[in-house]
Amino acid sequence: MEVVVASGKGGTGKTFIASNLLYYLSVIMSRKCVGVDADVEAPDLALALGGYSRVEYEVKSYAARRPVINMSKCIRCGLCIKVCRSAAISLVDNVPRVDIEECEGCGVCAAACPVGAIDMVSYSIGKIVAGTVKYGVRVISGELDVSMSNSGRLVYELKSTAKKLYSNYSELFIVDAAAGIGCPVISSIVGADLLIIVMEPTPQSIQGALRLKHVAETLHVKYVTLVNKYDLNPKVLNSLRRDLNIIGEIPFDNVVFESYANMTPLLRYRSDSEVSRRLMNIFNVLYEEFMG
Amino acid sequence: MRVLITGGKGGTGKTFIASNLAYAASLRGLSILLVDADISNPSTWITLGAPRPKPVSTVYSFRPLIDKSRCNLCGKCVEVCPAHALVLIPGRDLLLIDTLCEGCSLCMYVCPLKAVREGSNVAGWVLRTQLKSLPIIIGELRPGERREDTVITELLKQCENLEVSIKAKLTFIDAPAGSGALMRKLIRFSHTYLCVVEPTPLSLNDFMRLTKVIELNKTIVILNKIGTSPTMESKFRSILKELKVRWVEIPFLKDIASSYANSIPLPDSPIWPRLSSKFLEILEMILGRN
Repeated sequence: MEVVVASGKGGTGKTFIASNLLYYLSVIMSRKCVGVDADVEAPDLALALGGYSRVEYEVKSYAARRPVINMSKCIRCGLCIKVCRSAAISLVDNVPRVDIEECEGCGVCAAACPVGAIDMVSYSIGKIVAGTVKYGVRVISGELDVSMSNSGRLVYELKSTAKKLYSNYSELFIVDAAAGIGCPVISSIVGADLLIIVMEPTPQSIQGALRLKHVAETLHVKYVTLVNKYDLNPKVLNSLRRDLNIIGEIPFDNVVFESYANMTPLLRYRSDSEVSRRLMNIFNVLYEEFMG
Repeated sequence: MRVLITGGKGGTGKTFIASNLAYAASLRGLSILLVDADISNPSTWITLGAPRPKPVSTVYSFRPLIDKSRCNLCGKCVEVCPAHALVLIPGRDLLLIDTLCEGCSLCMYVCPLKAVREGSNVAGWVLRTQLKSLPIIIGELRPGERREDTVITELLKQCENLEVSIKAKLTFIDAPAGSGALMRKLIRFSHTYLCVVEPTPLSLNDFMRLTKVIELNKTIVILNKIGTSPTMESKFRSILKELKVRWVEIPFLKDIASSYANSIPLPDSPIWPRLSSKFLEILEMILGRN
């Protein structure tokens, strides 16, 4: 069972929902589960759960490749420059030069080179870290090197590493995706059993949720929507409940900021708050319907 | 001069700052351009209540066109496809899964029978709208498309054209969340950086990642949502002091959230008198660098 938490717009509460869901499953329901932080450009899931107390796995990711041009074979024909769709190769003093940061690592240049002068070699784009955070929750995070491309590739490697490391431990993976609907988010959603869309009742976030829903439908992934801070503008939700399959609404409360500042899931920090009560109801429904 | 509004983490207030700062600057008679580079979910125009944007150009990415009369189902393209977007049904068919395709065209170059030809699919659009004297250009990714870089490249090209034609004094660019290759492209394109952060450990973590790639002497930090966590706020202040980065603080007011949710530009809302000095301070800091 793979559940992805995403939102078309950033900052609507993905990590808030994912971290509390993990706490709910492991501590309240005593159900083994693994958190997968697929927001590889801003990985914060472990932090929201108090940070790693023990790191059990830390490996550089070589999920991407980059071209190396053998200058003794190169005949300066310029074909590699012409075929590259990322404009990552240019002539500098009549010698082809690869801009590693612009390169997507597809290998078209190597395939097109008429004299076989280009080799594709594995290239490190970030790292994958796994371990235990507070409360015994297992978390695995992908961390893309700053300003690197191939975030989608790292997400794929992260998800397969998660399964390799933990499928004996648990079959329940909660994936915290990046903001947006781009490449890394598509890689997060591909193959998932359920997508939880986290939305706020603002026109910016509603647009994002509808765009994300479109992606989920293209990939044939089932989705439900949770509305965070619903009381900021509850009227707008009426026309969206069916369209977005809204199954829960969470009110605004400053206590959420406080729990973040304390790096403690709200369900633990203030279990008596109204937000916690609502979260518990929503998670119970999700558990009954999808994870039981 | 181009000002990039970034921050690392989503939802810290990038779009809020970019939209309202650009609009406030345009109201002061400066020639301003607002560029929405958050192509996953462009919402500057929604935030400002501007008219619905109209397409200026369409961006395409590569898709393989398979000539079934030539293809002998050898599977070479399936083997090399880095995105696993091609599926071979042995002896029967070759299928493309559009959403997985990254548009690299490797399949076309490895096909021994030249059965894969150059096709294309819409990757996204560049659109334009206008709010009073403020032109807004917007990049939009087609849902399901992965080639974000192609949309950004076209957006920046249109941005350069428009800057010349309107003689832009300042260009404000609203960046998407994150710190990857798209961000690098936008950083290289810009001259000054506004990092919008909020007082949480998560935002601090993502800001620290960004400091590895942006020049801090060209950076102004916007410490947003002040009043939500005094401990994190003082931690931010001491880190910013240590890094010698200038910053401006914006208070957390429920009225701000409501103007944002109702698409009312801040300079046209009743709370503007409480915030105008903050926005003008940011504007002066930016202009002072010229």
